[in-house]
Amino acid sequence: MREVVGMRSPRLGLVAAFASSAAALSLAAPAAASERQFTYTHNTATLAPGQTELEPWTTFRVGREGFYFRMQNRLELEAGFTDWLQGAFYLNTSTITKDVEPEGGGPKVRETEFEWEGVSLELKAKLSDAVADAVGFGLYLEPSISPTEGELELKVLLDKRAGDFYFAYNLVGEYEVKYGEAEEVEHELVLENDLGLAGYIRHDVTLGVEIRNATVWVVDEGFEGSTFFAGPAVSFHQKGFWVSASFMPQLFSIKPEGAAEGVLDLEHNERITSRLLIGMDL
Amino acid sequence: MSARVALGGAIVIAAASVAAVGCVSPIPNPGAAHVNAASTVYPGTTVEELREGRSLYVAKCAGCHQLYLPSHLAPARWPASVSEMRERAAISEAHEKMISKYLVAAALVGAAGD
Repeated sequence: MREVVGMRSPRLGLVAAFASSAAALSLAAPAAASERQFTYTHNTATLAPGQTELEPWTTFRVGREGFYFRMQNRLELEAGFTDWLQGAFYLNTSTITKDVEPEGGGPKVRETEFEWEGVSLELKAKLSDAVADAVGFGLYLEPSISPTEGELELKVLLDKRAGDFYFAYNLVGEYEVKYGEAEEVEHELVLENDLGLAGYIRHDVTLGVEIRNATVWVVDEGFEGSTFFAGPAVSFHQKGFWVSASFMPQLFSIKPEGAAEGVLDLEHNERITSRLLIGMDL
Repeated sequence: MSARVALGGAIVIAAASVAAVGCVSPIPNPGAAHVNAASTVYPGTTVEELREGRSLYVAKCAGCHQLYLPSHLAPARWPASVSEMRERAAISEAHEKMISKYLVAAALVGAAGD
C-alpha cells in the first residue's frame, strides 16, 4: 500500500519522530528495563516472565543517487514468556522523500511517500548469560510480512560483559521474497554481521562503536554487493526506560563486476544510517 | 572483487568478536569458602542452597538488568536490595532469601580476598 502525500520537509519527519518518542517516554512506568547498548546488534538478554516493554524504533537513511531521505518507524511490543524466552510484535512503517522524474518528462520532482511495511513477530531465546557465563549465547527468529515482501530472519547472538566493557556480535541470515512491485518475484539471501564494542563511562551510560556488514545475493542473478557501515553508538538507561542511538556512515562496498564505479554502493544502500531506539517498561 | 572476499571479511569480524570474549565467570560458583562466609550470617547454610541461590540469581535477575557482580554492594546491603526488586521480578520470598544468601556469601568472600 503506497500513498503519495506530497511535498514535505524531512525536518518535519525528524521533529515528529522525536516528539512521538518524547510523548511515549512520559508514559513510562517507573520500573526496570532490559537495556540495549547498540541499535542493530542485539543483546542475548530476555525480559523476565510477565514483563512487557514498548520500544519505538526510528531509523534515518539518508543519501542515495540524488536526494533521498527515508525514515523507518517500528513500534515493538515485547513480552517475557519464561526466564529464557521472549516474544515481540512489530508494526512497521516508512516515509521516503526522494527526487523522481515525472512520467511526462521534465525536471525532477521531490516526492514524499508513506509506506505501510507490514508486521513482524519475534522470538528470542537466551541460552547462556553475558555476565555469569563465559559468553552470552542466544537465538533469534523474526518473520515479517508486508504488501510487497515477506522475510525470515534468523540470528545467532553472542555477547559478553567484562568489567566496564561490553561486546555483542550477531550473525544474521535472512531470506526475502519481493513480490509487490517487481514484474517478477525476486528472491534474496542476505548474510549480515553486526558487531558492537562499548565501554561504560558511567554505570548507566555506554559509549562505543557499532559495525555492520550486509552481503546480498539475488537468486538467479548472483552477488549484489557487500556493504560496510560503522560509527559511534551511545546508550543510557534508567529505571523504567533506556535509550540507544547510533550514527553509521557507509564506509565502502564490495560490488559485482559491471556495477557503477565508486567506493560506496548508493544504488542499494544509503550514505548514512542513523537509528534511535527507546525502551519503556509497561 | 568477489563474494568470497566479502565472506572473508565477515569471518574476520566474527573471529575477532569471539577472541574478545573472556572465559571466567565473575559470578562465582559456591564452594567451601562461601559456605563458611554465609554461615557467619545465616548459620547452617549448605553449599546446595548457595548453588540454588546462584542459579536463581542468574535466571531471575537478568530479566530486568545485566547481572551485578557480588562485589557491587557491601555484603550487608544485598538483602535489602534484593527485597526491593523482588516484586517487580516476580520472585517468591523463599527464592529471594536464597538469592540474598548467595550474594551475601559471594560478597563476603570477595571482600576477604581484596
